[in-house]
Amino acid sequence: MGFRNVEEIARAVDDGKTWFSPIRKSTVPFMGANAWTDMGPGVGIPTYQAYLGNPLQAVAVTGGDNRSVYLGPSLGAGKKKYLLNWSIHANSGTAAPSFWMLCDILLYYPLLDGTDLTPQILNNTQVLPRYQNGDGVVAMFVTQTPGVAVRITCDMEYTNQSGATGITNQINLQGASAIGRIMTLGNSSNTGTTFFAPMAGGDTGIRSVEKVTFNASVDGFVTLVLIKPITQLSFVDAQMWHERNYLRDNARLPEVEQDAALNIVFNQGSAGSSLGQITSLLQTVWE
Amino acid sequence: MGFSSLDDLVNEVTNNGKFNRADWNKIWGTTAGTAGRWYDMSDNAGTPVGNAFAGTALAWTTCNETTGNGSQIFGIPHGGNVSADTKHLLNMSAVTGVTTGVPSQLMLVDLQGYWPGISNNTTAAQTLTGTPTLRYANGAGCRLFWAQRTTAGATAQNISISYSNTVPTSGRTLPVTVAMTASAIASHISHSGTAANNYGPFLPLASGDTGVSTVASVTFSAANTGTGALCLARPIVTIPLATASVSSERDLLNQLPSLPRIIDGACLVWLYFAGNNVAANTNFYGSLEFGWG
Repeated sequence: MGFRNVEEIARAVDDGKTWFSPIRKSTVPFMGANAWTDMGPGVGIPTYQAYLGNPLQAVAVTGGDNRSVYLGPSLGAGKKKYLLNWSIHANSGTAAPSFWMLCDILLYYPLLDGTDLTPQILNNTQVLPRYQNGDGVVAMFVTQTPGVAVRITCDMEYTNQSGATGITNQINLQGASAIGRIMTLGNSSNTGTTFFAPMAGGDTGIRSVEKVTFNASVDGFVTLVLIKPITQLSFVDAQMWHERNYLRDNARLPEVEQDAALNIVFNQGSAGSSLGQITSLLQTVWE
Repeated sequence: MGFSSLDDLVNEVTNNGKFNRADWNKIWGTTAGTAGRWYDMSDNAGTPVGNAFAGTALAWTTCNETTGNGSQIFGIPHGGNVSADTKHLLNMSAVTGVTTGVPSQLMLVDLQGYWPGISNNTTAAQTLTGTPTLRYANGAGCRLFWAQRTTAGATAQNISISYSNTVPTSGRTLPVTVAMTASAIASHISHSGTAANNYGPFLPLASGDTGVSTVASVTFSAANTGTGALCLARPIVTIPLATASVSSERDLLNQLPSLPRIIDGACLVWLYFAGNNVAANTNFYGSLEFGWG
Protein backbone atom coordinates (compact mmCIF):
# COMPACT_ATOMS: atom_id res chain seq x y z
CA MET A 1 0.00 0.00 0.00
CA GLY A 2 0.91 3.66 0.19
CA PHE A 3 -0.77 7.02 0.44
CA ARG A 4 -3.63 7.58 -1.96
CA ASN A 5 -3.95 11.30 -1.38
CA VAL A 6 -2.68 14.26 0.60
CA GLU A 7 -5.36 13.82 3.28
CA GLU A 8 -4.02 10.36 4.14
CA ILE A 9 -0.55 11.78 4.65
CA ALA A 10 -1.85 14.51 6.95
CA ARG A 11 -4.03 12.05 8.86
CA ALA A 12 -1.11 9.67 9.34
CA VAL A 13 0.87 12.43 11.01
CA ASP A 14 -2.10 13.35 13.22
CA ASP A 15 -2.55 9.69 14.17
CA GLY A 16 1.05 9.47 15.31
CA LYS A 17 2.23 7.34 12.42
CA THR A 18 5.37 9.38 12.18
CA TRP A 19 8.84 9.35 13.67
CA PHE A 20 11.64 11.86 14.11
CA SER A 21 15.11 10.36 13.74
CA PRO A 22 18.27 12.25 14.57
CA ILE A 23 21.62 11.90 12.88
CA ARG A 24 24.65 13.37 14.59
CA LYS A 25 28.32 13.11 13.81
CA SER A 26 30.77 14.85 16.08
CA THR A 27 33.64 14.57 13.66
CA VAL A 28 33.69 14.15 9.94
CA PRO A 29 37.04 14.10 8.14
CA PHE A 30 37.80 16.72 5.54
CA MET A 31 38.93 15.12 2.29
CA GLY A 32 39.55 18.25 0.30
CA ALA A 33 37.42 20.39 -1.94
CA ASN A 34 35.25 18.52 -4.41
CA ALA A 35 35.94 15.14 -2.82
CA TRP A 36 33.13 12.79 -1.84
CA THR A 37 33.20 11.48 1.71
CA ASP A 38 31.39 8.66 3.44
CA MET A 39 30.04 9.88 6.77
CA GLY A 40 29.84 6.29 8.02
CA PRO A 41 33.30 6.31 9.58
CA GLY A 42 32.45 9.11 11.95
CA VAL A 43 31.57 9.09 15.63
CA GLY A 44 27.91 9.55 16.54
CA ILE A 45 24.53 8.40 15.23
CA PRO A 46 24.56 6.14 13.32
CA THR A 47 27.44 4.47 15.12
CA TYR A 48 30.86 4.34 13.52
CA GLN A 49 30.73 2.18 10.40
CA ALA A 50 34.06 0.36 10.20
CA TYR A 51 32.83 -2.01 7.50
CA LEU A 52 33.85 -5.01 9.56
CA GLY A 53 33.74 -8.51 8.24
CA ASN A 54 35.75 -11.27 6.65
CA PRO A 55 37.87 -10.12 3.73
CA LEU A 56 35.98 -10.11 0.43
CA GLN A 57 32.87 -11.65 1.97
CA ALA A 58 29.65 -9.76 1.40
CA VAL A 59 27.99 -8.35 4.50
CA ALA A 60 24.33 -7.42 4.19
CA VAL A 61 23.46 -4.36 6.25
CA THR A 62 20.23 -4.05 8.16
CA GLY A 63 19.31 -0.96 10.09
CA GLY A 64 16.30 -0.38 12.26
CA ASP A 65 18.00 -0.26 15.64
CA ASN A 66 19.88 2.32 17.61
CA ARG A 67 23.22 1.40 16.10
CA SER A 68 21.83 2.68 12.85
CA VAL A 69 19.31 5.45 12.38
CA TYR A 70 16.15 4.25 14.07
CA LEU A 71 13.21 5.12 11.83
CA GLY A 72 10.31 4.13 14.02
CA PRO A 73 8.54 0.84 14.62
CA SER A 74 8.52 -1.97 12.13
CA LEU A 75 5.43 -2.02 9.99
CA GLY A 76 3.11 -4.85 9.11
CA ALA A 77 3.27 -6.69 5.84
CA GLY A 78 2.51 -4.55 2.82
CA LYS A 79 2.85 -1.26 4.66
CA LYS A 80 5.41 1.29 3.59
CA LYS A 81 7.34 4.08 5.24
CA TYR A 82 8.18 7.36 3.56
CA LEU A 83 10.44 10.32 4.17
CA LEU A 84 8.38 13.43 4.84
CA ASN A 85 11.01 15.93 5.95
CA TRP A 86 14.80 16.14 6.09
CA SER A 87 16.88 18.90 7.63
CA ILE A 88 20.63 19.26 8.00
CA HIS A 89 23.08 21.48 9.85
CA ALA A 90 26.86 21.72 10.11
CA ASN A 91 28.47 24.05 12.61
CA SER A 92 31.71 24.79 10.80
CA GLY A 93 32.02 28.11 9.08
CA THR A 94 33.55 26.37 6.07
CA ALA A 95 30.84 23.73 5.75
CA ALA A 96 29.18 25.57 2.88
CA PRO A 97 28.80 24.94 0.11
CA SER A 98 28.43 21.19 0.28
CA PHE A 99 26.14 18.60 -1.24
CA TRP A 100 24.65 15.79 0.84
CA MET A 101 23.19 12.51 -0.38
CA LEU A 102 21.04 10.30 1.87
CA CYS A 103 21.61 6.65 1.03
CA ASP A 104 20.55 3.22 2.18
CA ILE A 105 23.68 1.12 2.80
CA LEU A 106 22.72 -2.29 1.49
CA LEU A 107 25.80 -4.47 1.43
CA TYR A 108 29.57 -4.19 1.49
CA TYR A 109 32.62 -6.25 0.64
CA PRO A 110 35.27 -5.42 3.24
CA LEU A 111 39.03 -5.53 3.20
CA LEU A 112 39.82 -5.58 -0.50
CA ASP A 113 43.61 -5.63 -0.47
CA GLY A 114 44.89 -2.47 -2.10
CA THR A 115 48.27 -4.08 -2.80
CA ASP A 116 46.91 -7.25 -4.44
CA LEU A 117 46.94 -6.92 -8.22
CA THR A 118 45.45 -10.34 -8.85
CA PRO A 119 41.67 -10.79 -9.24
CA GLN A 120 40.02 -10.67 -5.83
CA ILE A 121 37.06 -13.02 -5.90
CA LEU A 122 34.18 -11.81 -3.78
CA ASN A 123 31.95 -14.10 -1.72
CA ASN A 124 28.26 -13.49 -2.36
CA THR A 125 26.73 -15.86 0.16
CA GLN A 126 24.85 -12.86 1.46
CA VAL A 127 22.78 -10.90 -1.04
CA LEU A 128 21.16 -7.50 -1.19
CA PRO A 129 18.72 -7.30 1.72
CA ARG A 130 16.63 -4.62 -0.01
CA TYR A 131 16.16 -3.60 -3.64
CA GLN A 132 17.08 -7.18 -4.34
CA ASN A 133 17.08 -7.02 -8.10
CA GLY A 134 19.70 -4.27 -7.87
CA ASP A 135 17.80 -1.67 -9.85
CA GLY A 136 19.06 1.76 -8.80
CA VAL A 137 21.81 0.23 -6.65
CA VAL A 138 25.25 1.73 -7.21
CA ALA A 139 28.75 0.90 -6.03
CA MET A 140 31.27 3.07 -4.26
CA PHE A 141 34.84 2.29 -3.25
CA VAL A 142 35.72 3.61 0.20
CA THR A 143 39.12 3.83 1.88
CA GLN A 144 38.90 1.39 4.79
CA THR A 145 42.48 1.65 6.05
CA PRO A 146 44.99 4.33 5.04
CA GLY A 147 46.38 4.00 1.53
CA VAL A 148 48.42 6.27 -0.67
CA ALA A 149 47.26 9.15 -2.81
CA VAL A 150 47.70 7.67 -6.26
CA ARG A 151 45.34 7.36 -9.18
CA ILE A 152 44.78 3.87 -10.48
CA THR A 153 42.25 1.84 -12.38
CA CYS A 154 40.46 -1.30 -11.33
CA ASP A 155 38.27 -3.77 -13.16
CA MET A 156 34.97 -4.55 -11.52
CA GLU A 157 32.97 -7.59 -12.65
CA TYR A 158 29.33 -7.55 -11.60
CA THR A 159 25.80 -8.78 -12.12
CA ASN A 160 23.36 -6.14 -13.24
CA GLN A 161 19.74 -5.45 -12.39
CA SER A 162 18.49 -7.95 -14.96
CA GLY A 163 20.64 -10.77 -13.62
CA ALA A 164 23.16 -10.63 -16.46
CA THR A 165 26.49 -11.84 -15.10
CA GLY A 166 30.11 -11.28 -16.02
CA ILE A 167 29.78 -7.60 -16.88
CA THR A 168 33.13 -5.87 -16.52
CA ASN A 169 33.75 -2.17 -16.30
CA GLN A 170 36.95 -0.31 -15.63
CA ILE A 171 36.77 2.13 -12.73
CA ASN A 172 39.15 5.02 -12.04
CA LEU A 173 40.09 5.37 -8.36
CA GLN A 174 41.89 7.93 -6.24
CA GLY A 175 43.82 6.34 -3.38
CA ALA A 176 43.79 8.16 -0.08
CA SER A 177 45.21 8.03 3.39
CA ALA A 178 42.01 9.27 5.01
CA ILE A 179 39.50 6.64 6.06
CA GLY A 180 36.10 7.27 4.58
CA ARG A 181 37.30 8.87 1.38
CA ILE A 182 35.16 7.76 -1.56
CA MET A 183 37.73 6.81 -4.12
CA THR A 184 35.75 6.68 -7.33
CA LEU A 185 36.84 9.06 -10.08
CA GLY A 186 35.06 9.92 -13.28
CA ASN A 187 38.23 9.44 -15.28
CA SER A 188 41.95 9.25 -14.64
CA SER A 189 42.32 13.01 -14.81
CA ASN A 190 39.14 13.95 -12.99
CA THR A 191 39.49 17.00 -10.83
CA GLY A 192 37.10 15.52 -8.30
CA THR A 193 35.46 12.28 -7.33
CA THR A 194 32.08 11.02 -8.33
CA PHE A 195 30.64 8.94 -5.56
CA PHE A 196 29.38 5.99 -7.56
CA ALA A 197 31.19 3.83 -10.07
CA PRO A 198 30.06 4.01 -13.68
CA MET A 199 28.34 0.98 -15.12
CA ALA A 200 28.25 -0.58 -18.54
CA GLY A 201 25.89 0.90 -21.09
CA GLY A 202 22.24 0.15 -20.44
CA ASP A 203 22.73 -0.99 -16.86
CA THR A 204 20.62 0.71 -14.22
CA GLY A 205 21.92 -1.05 -11.15
CA ILE A 206 24.15 -3.65 -9.58
CA ARG A 207 22.83 -6.83 -7.99
CA SER A 208 26.20 -8.17 -6.86
CA VAL A 209 29.91 -7.81 -7.54
CA GLU A 210 31.86 -10.95 -8.34
CA LYS A 211 35.42 -9.77 -8.81
CA VAL A 212 37.65 -6.74 -8.39
CA THR A 213 41.12 -6.42 -9.89
CA PHE A 214 43.28 -3.43 -8.99
CA ASN A 215 45.62 -2.55 -11.85
CA ALA A 216 48.08 -0.79 -9.55
CA SER A 217 48.59 -0.59 -5.81
CA VAL A 218 46.87 1.96 -3.58
CA ASP A 219 48.14 0.32 -0.39
CA GLY A 220 45.85 -0.19 2.56
CA PHE A 221 42.44 -1.83 2.37
CA VAL A 222 39.35 -0.79 0.47
CA THR A 223 35.67 -1.48 1.03
CA LEU A 224 33.31 -1.85 -1.88
CA VAL A 225 29.87 -0.68 -0.77
CA LEU A 226 26.55 -1.12 -2.58
CA ILE A 227 24.11 1.68 -1.81
CA LYS A 228 20.73 2.97 -2.93
CA PRO A 229 20.63 6.77 -3.25
CA ILE A 230 17.39 8.09 -1.77
CA THR A 231 17.51 11.86 -1.88
CA GLN A 232 19.84 14.84 -1.84
CA LEU A 233 20.12 18.23 -0.18
CA SER A 234 22.49 21.14 -0.62
CA PHE A 235 24.13 22.97 2.25
CA VAL A 236 24.54 26.51 1.06
CA ASP A 237 24.85 28.72 4.11
CA ALA A 238 27.21 27.84 6.94
CA GLN A 239 25.65 27.28 10.34
CA MET A 240 22.09 27.52 9.03
CA TRP A 241 19.50 24.76 9.01
CA HIS A 242 18.57 23.54 5.58
CA GLU A 243 15.23 21.79 5.19
CA ARG A 244 13.20 19.86 2.64
CA ASN A 245 9.53 18.89 2.81
CA TYR A 246 9.12 16.17 0.23
CA LEU A 247 5.43 16.58 -0.43
CA ARG A 248 5.67 20.30 -1.09
CA ASP A 249 9.19 20.57 -2.46
CA ASN A 250 9.66 17.35 -4.41
CA ALA A 251 6.16 16.28 -5.47
CA ARG A 252 6.96 12.86 -4.05
CA LEU A 253 7.75 11.21 -0.71
CA PRO A 254 10.82 8.98 -1.06
CA GLU A 255 10.17 5.46 0.18
CA VAL A 256 12.37 4.21 2.98
CA GLU A 257 12.52 0.44 3.03
CA GLN A 258 11.89 -1.58 6.16
CA ASP A 259 15.20 -1.96 8.02
CA ALA A 260 16.94 0.64 5.88
CA ALA A 261 20.48 1.41 7.05
CA LEU A 262 20.71 5.10 6.33
CA ASN A 263 23.95 6.96 5.85
CA ILE A 264 25.05 10.22 4.31
CA VAL A 265 27.72 10.76 1.70
CA PHE A 266 28.67 14.31 0.93
CA ASN A 267 30.75 16.43 -1.37
CA GLN A 268 32.43 19.40 0.23
CA GLY A 269 32.99 22.26 -2.13
CA SER A 270 34.81 24.58 0.20
CA ALA A 271 38.58 24.58 0.32
CA GLY A 272 38.35 25.13 4.02
CA SER A 273 38.49 22.60 6.81
CA SER A 274 36.01 20.00 8.05
CA LEU A 275 32.24 20.26 8.27
CA GLY A 276 32.51 20.26 12.03
CA GLN A 277 29.66 18.73 13.97
CA ILE A 278 26.85 17.39 11.80
CA THR A 279 23.26 17.41 13.00
CA SER A 280 20.35 16.17 10.94
CA LEU A 281 16.73 15.27 11.51
CA LEU A 282 14.59 12.93 9.45
CA GLN A 283 10.82 12.65 9.73
CA THR A 284 9.21 9.52 8.36
CA VAL A 285 5.52 8.80 7.96
CA TRP A 286 3.62 5.62 7.25
CA GLU A 287 0.07 4.53 6.54
CA MET B 1 -3.87 9.79 -18.96
CA GLY B 2 -1.62 11.89 -16.73
CA PHE B 3 -2.54 13.04 -13.25
CA SER B 4 -6.03 14.31 -12.60
CA SER B 5 -5.18 15.81 -9.22
CA LEU B 6 -2.44 16.06 -6.62
CA ASP B 7 -4.14 13.19 -4.83
CA ASP B 8 -3.95 11.15 -8.00
CA LEU B 9 -0.24 11.88 -8.31
CA VAL B 10 0.37 10.86 -4.70
CA ASN B 11 -1.60 7.66 -5.25
CA GLU B 12 0.18 6.71 -8.44
CA VAL B 13 3.77 7.32 -7.32
CA THR B 14 3.52 6.09 -3.75
CA ASN B 15 0.65 3.61 -3.61
CA ASN B 16 1.00 2.20 -7.10
CA GLY B 17 4.77 2.50 -7.28
CA LYS B 18 4.79 4.22 -10.66
CA PHE B 19 8.06 5.97 -10.04
CA ASN B 20 11.64 5.90 -11.20
CA ARG B 21 14.73 7.75 -10.05
CA ALA B 22 17.85 8.14 -12.17
CA ASP B 23 21.16 9.30 -10.70
CA TRP B 24 23.49 10.44 -13.45
CA ASN B 25 26.99 11.86 -13.70
CA LYS B 26 29.00 13.20 -16.59
CA ILE B 27 32.70 13.98 -16.84
CA TRP B 28 33.78 16.77 -19.18
CA GLY B 29 36.29 15.75 -21.81
CA THR B 30 39.99 16.39 -21.83
CA THR B 31 39.73 19.77 -23.56
CA ALA B 32 38.43 22.83 -21.77
CA GLY B 33 35.20 24.42 -22.87
CA THR B 34 34.75 28.06 -23.81
CA ALA B 35 32.36 30.50 -22.20
CA GLY B 36 29.37 31.40 -24.30
CA ARG B 37 29.17 28.14 -26.19
CA TRP B 38 26.77 25.21 -26.08
CA TYR B 39 28.03 21.66 -25.85
CA ASP B 40 26.48 18.24 -26.32
CA MET B 41 27.19 16.24 -23.17
CA SER B 42 25.87 12.96 -24.57
CA ASP B 43 29.38 11.94 -25.55
CA ASN B 44 30.83 12.60 -22.08
CA ALA B 45 31.88 9.57 -20.06
CA GLY B 46 30.06 8.66 -16.88
CA THR B 47 26.66 7.25 -16.06
CA PRO B 48 25.12 6.64 -18.51
CA VAL B 49 27.99 5.85 -20.85
CA GLY B 50 29.06 8.27 -23.55
CA ASN B 51 27.58 8.43 -27.02
CA ALA B 52 30.19 7.56 -29.65
CA PHE B 53 27.75 8.49 -32.43
CA ALA B 54 27.81 5.03 -33.96
CA GLY B 55 26.20 4.65 -37.33
CA THR B 56 26.72 4.89 -41.06
CA ALA B 57 27.96 8.23 -42.31
CA LEU B 58 25.13 10.47 -43.54
CA ALA B 59 22.49 7.86 -42.64
CA TRP B 60 19.79 8.46 -40.02
CA THR B 61 20.49 6.68 -36.73
CA THR B 62 17.54 6.39 -34.36
CA CYS B 63 18.16 6.81 -30.64
CA ASN B 64 15.97 5.55 -27.83
CA GLU B 65 16.07 4.69 -24.14
CA THR B 66 16.59 0.97 -24.28
CA THR B 67 18.91 0.50 -27.26
CA GLY B 68 20.61 3.88 -27.49
CA ASN B 69 22.04 4.21 -30.98
CA GLY B 70 22.31 0.46 -31.35
CA SER B 71 25.86 0.42 -30.02
CA GLN B 72 25.92 2.64 -26.92
CA ILE B 73 22.95 2.91 -24.54
CA PHE B 74 23.72 6.46 -23.58
CA GLY B 75 20.40 8.05 -22.66
CA ILE B 76 19.47 8.59 -19.02
CA PRO B 77 17.11 5.70 -18.16
CA HIS B 78 13.64 6.68 -17.05
CA GLY B 79 11.82 3.46 -16.33
CA GLY B 80 10.84 2.03 -19.68
CA ASN B 81 7.61 2.32 -21.61
CA VAL B 82 4.48 3.01 -19.58
CA SER B 83 1.74 3.36 -22.18
CA ALA B 84 -1.28 3.70 -21.70
CA ASP B 85 -0.08 5.82 -18.76
CA THR B 86 1.92 8.95 -19.48
CA LYS B 87 5.24 9.59 -17.79
CA HIS B 88 6.25 12.97 -16.40
CA LEU B 89 9.32 14.54 -14.92
CA LEU B 90 8.60 15.36 -11.26
CA ASN B 91 11.83 16.97 -10.14
CA MET B 92 15.46 17.29 -11.09
CA SER B 93 18.78 18.29 -9.60
CA ALA B 94 22.26 19.05 -10.88
CA VAL B 95 25.56 20.08 -9.35
CA THR B 96 29.22 20.47 -10.13
CA GLY B 97 31.99 20.82 -7.61
CA VAL B 98 34.29 22.74 -9.94
CA THR B 99 34.12 26.51 -10.04
CA THR B 100 34.65 26.72 -13.79
CA GLY B 101 31.53 24.62 -14.28
CA VAL B 102 29.38 27.55 -13.20
CA PRO B 103 27.50 29.62 -14.03
CA SER B 104 25.90 27.46 -16.67
CA GLN B 105 22.65 26.05 -17.97
CA LEU B 106 21.77 22.44 -18.56
CA MET B 107 19.06 21.61 -21.06
CA LEU B 108 17.46 18.18 -21.03
CA VAL B 109 16.50 17.03 -24.53
CA ASP B 110 15.02 13.92 -26.09
CA LEU B 111 17.53 13.03 -28.79
CA GLN B 112 15.45 11.53 -31.59
CA GLY B 113 18.51 10.56 -33.56
CA TYR B 114 21.26 11.92 -35.74
CA TRP B 115 23.04 11.76 -39.06
CA PRO B 116 26.68 10.99 -38.24
CA GLY B 117 29.88 11.31 -40.19
CA ILE B 118 29.08 14.55 -42.01
CA SER B 119 32.25 16.15 -43.28
CA ASN B 120 33.22 19.77 -42.69
CA ASN B 121 35.72 19.36 -45.54
CA THR B 122 33.59 19.90 -48.62
CA THR B 123 31.41 22.56 -50.19
CA ALA B 124 29.34 20.00 -52.05
CA ALA B 125 25.83 19.37 -50.76
CA GLN B 126 25.93 16.23 -48.62
CA THR B 127 22.76 14.23 -49.05
CA LEU B 128 21.41 12.73 -45.87
CA THR B 129 19.62 9.41 -46.04
CA GLY B 130 17.06 7.56 -44.01
CA THR B 131 13.67 8.53 -42.66
CA PRO B 132 13.67 9.65 -39.04
CA THR B 133 11.55 7.62 -36.65
CA LEU B 134 9.97 10.39 -34.62
CA ARG B 135 8.39 10.23 -31.19
CA TYR B 136 6.71 13.60 -31.83
CA ALA B 137 4.21 13.74 -34.66
CA ASN B 138 5.91 15.18 -37.76
CA GLY B 139 8.71 16.51 -35.63
CA ALA B 140 6.63 18.97 -33.67
CA GLY B 141 8.93 20.97 -31.44
CA CYS B 142 11.99 19.11 -32.68
CA ARG B 143 15.13 21.11 -33.32
CA LEU B 144 18.44 20.56 -35.05
CA PHE B 145 21.94 20.99 -33.69
CA TRP B 146 25.38 20.15 -35.03
CA ALA B 147 27.60 18.18 -32.69
CA GLN B 148 31.25 18.45 -33.70
CA ARG B 149 32.83 15.00 -33.52
CA THR B 150 36.41 15.61 -34.56
CA THR B 151 38.14 18.93 -34.03
CA ALA B 152 37.41 21.34 -36.81
CA GLY B 153 40.12 23.15 -38.68
CA ALA B 154 40.76 26.88 -38.64
CA THR B 155 38.85 27.78 -41.82
CA ALA B 156 35.73 29.84 -41.37
CA GLN B 157 32.59 28.32 -42.83
CA ASN B 158 28.85 28.76 -42.75
CA ILE B 159 26.32 25.93 -42.63
CA SER B 160 23.19 25.60 -44.73
CA ILE B 161 20.62 22.86 -44.63
CA SER B 162 17.56 21.78 -46.57
CA TYR B 163 14.95 20.37 -44.26
CA SER B 164 11.28 19.46 -44.03
CA ASN B 165 9.09 21.13 -41.45
CA THR B 166 6.12 19.63 -39.58
CA VAL B 167 3.53 20.04 -42.37
CA PRO B 168 5.66 18.49 -43.87
CA THR B 169 6.98 20.88 -46.51
CA SER B 170 10.39 20.06 -47.91
CA GLY B 171 13.09 22.41 -49.09
CA ARG B 172 12.99 24.65 -46.05
CA THR B 173 16.20 26.55 -45.36
CA LEU B 174 17.78 28.48 -42.54
CA PRO B 175 16.48 32.04 -42.46
CA VAL B 176 19.85 33.57 -41.62
CA THR B 177 23.54 33.04 -42.20
CA VAL B 178 24.81 30.62 -39.60
CA ALA B 179 28.54 30.50 -38.93
CA MET B 180 30.41 27.52 -37.58
CA THR B 181 33.22 28.02 -35.10
CA ALA B 182 36.73 27.49 -36.39
CA SER B 183 38.76 24.93 -34.46
CA ALA B 184 35.66 23.72 -32.67
CA ILE B 185 36.38 20.85 -30.30
CA ALA B 186 34.45 17.60 -30.15
CA SER B 187 31.05 17.95 -28.47
CA HIS B 188 30.89 21.67 -29.24
CA ILE B 189 27.63 22.66 -30.90
CA SER B 190 29.81 24.58 -33.20
CA HIS B 191 27.25 26.99 -34.64
CA SER B 192 26.81 28.34 -31.09
CA GLY B 193 29.02 30.88 -29.42
CA THR B 194 29.57 34.60 -29.08
CA ALA B 195 30.87 35.32 -32.58
CA ALA B 196 28.88 36.94 -35.33
CA ASN B 197 26.22 34.68 -36.88
CA ASN B 198 26.51 32.12 -34.12
CA TYR B 199 23.18 30.61 -33.02
CA GLY B 200 22.64 28.12 -30.28
CA PRO B 201 21.83 25.66 -29.08
CA PHE B 202 19.67 24.97 -32.13
CA LEU B 203 19.81 25.96 -35.75
CA PRO B 204 17.25 28.66 -36.50
CA LEU B 205 14.13 27.64 -38.40
CA ALA B 206 12.43 29.30 -41.33
CA SER B 207 9.62 31.71 -40.64
CA GLY B 208 6.50 29.94 -39.33
CA ASP B 209 8.17 26.60 -38.79
CA THR B 210 7.72 24.92 -35.41
CA GLY B 211 9.74 21.80 -35.90
CA VAL B 212 11.78 19.58 -38.17
CA SER B 213 10.69 16.21 -39.52
CA THR B 214 13.72 15.38 -41.62
CA VAL B 215 16.76 16.87 -43.32
CA ALA B 216 17.67 16.36 -46.95
CA SER B 217 21.13 17.87 -47.16
CA VAL B 218 23.89 19.83 -45.45
CA THR B 219 26.14 22.28 -47.26
CA PHE B 220 29.15 24.28 -46.06
CA SER B 221 30.30 27.54 -47.61
CA ALA B 222 33.97 26.58 -47.39
CA ALA B 223 35.93 23.39 -46.86
CA ASN B 224 37.37 22.84 -43.41
CA THR B 225 38.69 19.73 -41.72
CA GLY B 226 36.63 17.82 -39.19
CA THR B 227 33.44 15.81 -39.01
CA GLY B 228 30.23 16.10 -37.09
CA ALA B 229 26.74 14.82 -36.60
CA LEU B 230 23.50 16.63 -37.26
CA CYS B 231 21.19 15.84 -34.35
CA LEU B 232 17.42 16.11 -34.06
CA ALA B 233 16.12 16.67 -30.53
CA ARG B 234 13.09 17.87 -28.63
CA PRO B 235 13.95 20.22 -25.75
CA ILE B 236 12.23 19.34 -22.46
CA VAL B 237 13.43 21.46 -19.56
CA THR B 238 16.37 23.54 -18.39
CA ILE B 239 18.10 23.97 -15.06
CA PRO B 240 20.75 26.55 -14.18
CA LEU B 241 23.90 25.86 -12.21
CA ALA B 242 24.72 28.94 -10.21
CA THR B 243 27.32 28.02 -7.60
CA ALA B 244 29.90 25.25 -7.40
CA SER B 245 28.98 22.47 -4.99
CA VAL B 246 25.47 23.84 -4.53
CA SER B 247 22.87 21.63 -6.11
CA SER B 248 20.34 23.30 -8.32
CA GLU B 249 16.92 21.77 -8.09
CA ARG B 250 13.63 22.01 -9.90
CA ASP B 251 10.32 20.89 -8.47
CA LEU B 252 8.22 20.62 -11.60
CA LEU B 253 4.93 20.38 -9.75
CA ASN B 254 4.95 23.18 -7.22
CA GLN B 255 7.88 25.38 -8.23
CA LEU B 256 7.51 25.35 -12.00
CA PRO B 257 4.16 23.63 -12.58
CA SER B 258 4.70 21.84 -15.84
CA LEU B 259 5.34 18.13 -15.25
CA PRO B 260 7.02 17.79 -18.66
CA ARG B 261 6.00 14.65 -20.42
CA ILE B 262 8.63 12.02 -21.12
CA ILE B 263 7.55 10.08 -24.18
CA ASP B 264 8.01 6.30 -24.22
CA GLY B 265 11.44 5.57 -25.61
CA ALA B 266 12.81 9.05 -25.02
CA CYS B 267 16.60 9.19 -25.24
CA LEU B 268 17.40 11.78 -22.57
CA VAL B 269 20.69 13.66 -22.85
CA TRP B 270 22.02 16.99 -21.62
CA LEU B 271 23.09 20.01 -23.60
CA TYR B 272 25.30 22.41 -21.66
CA PHE B 273 25.67 26.18 -21.96
CA ALA B 274 29.05 27.27 -20.63
CA GLY B 275 28.97 30.51 -18.71
CA ASN B 276 32.63 30.01 -17.88
CA ASN B 277 35.66 28.32 -19.44
CA VAL B 278 34.95 24.81 -18.24
CA ALA B 279 38.05 22.98 -17.04
CA ALA B 280 38.89 19.61 -18.51
CA ASN B 281 37.58 16.62 -16.59
CA THR B 282 35.03 18.63 -14.65
CA ASN B 283 32.43 16.37 -13.12
CA PHE B 284 28.70 16.95 -13.08
CA TYR B 285 26.16 15.00 -11.12
CA GLY B 286 22.42 15.05 -10.78
CA SER B 287 19.17 13.19 -10.48
CA LEU B 288 15.87 12.98 -12.31
CA GLU B 289 12.69 11.61 -10.77
CA PHE B 290 9.83 10.42 -12.91
CA GLY B 291 6.25 9.43 -12.17
CA TRP B 292 3.51 8.10 -14.39
CA GLY B 293 -0.19 7.57 -14.30
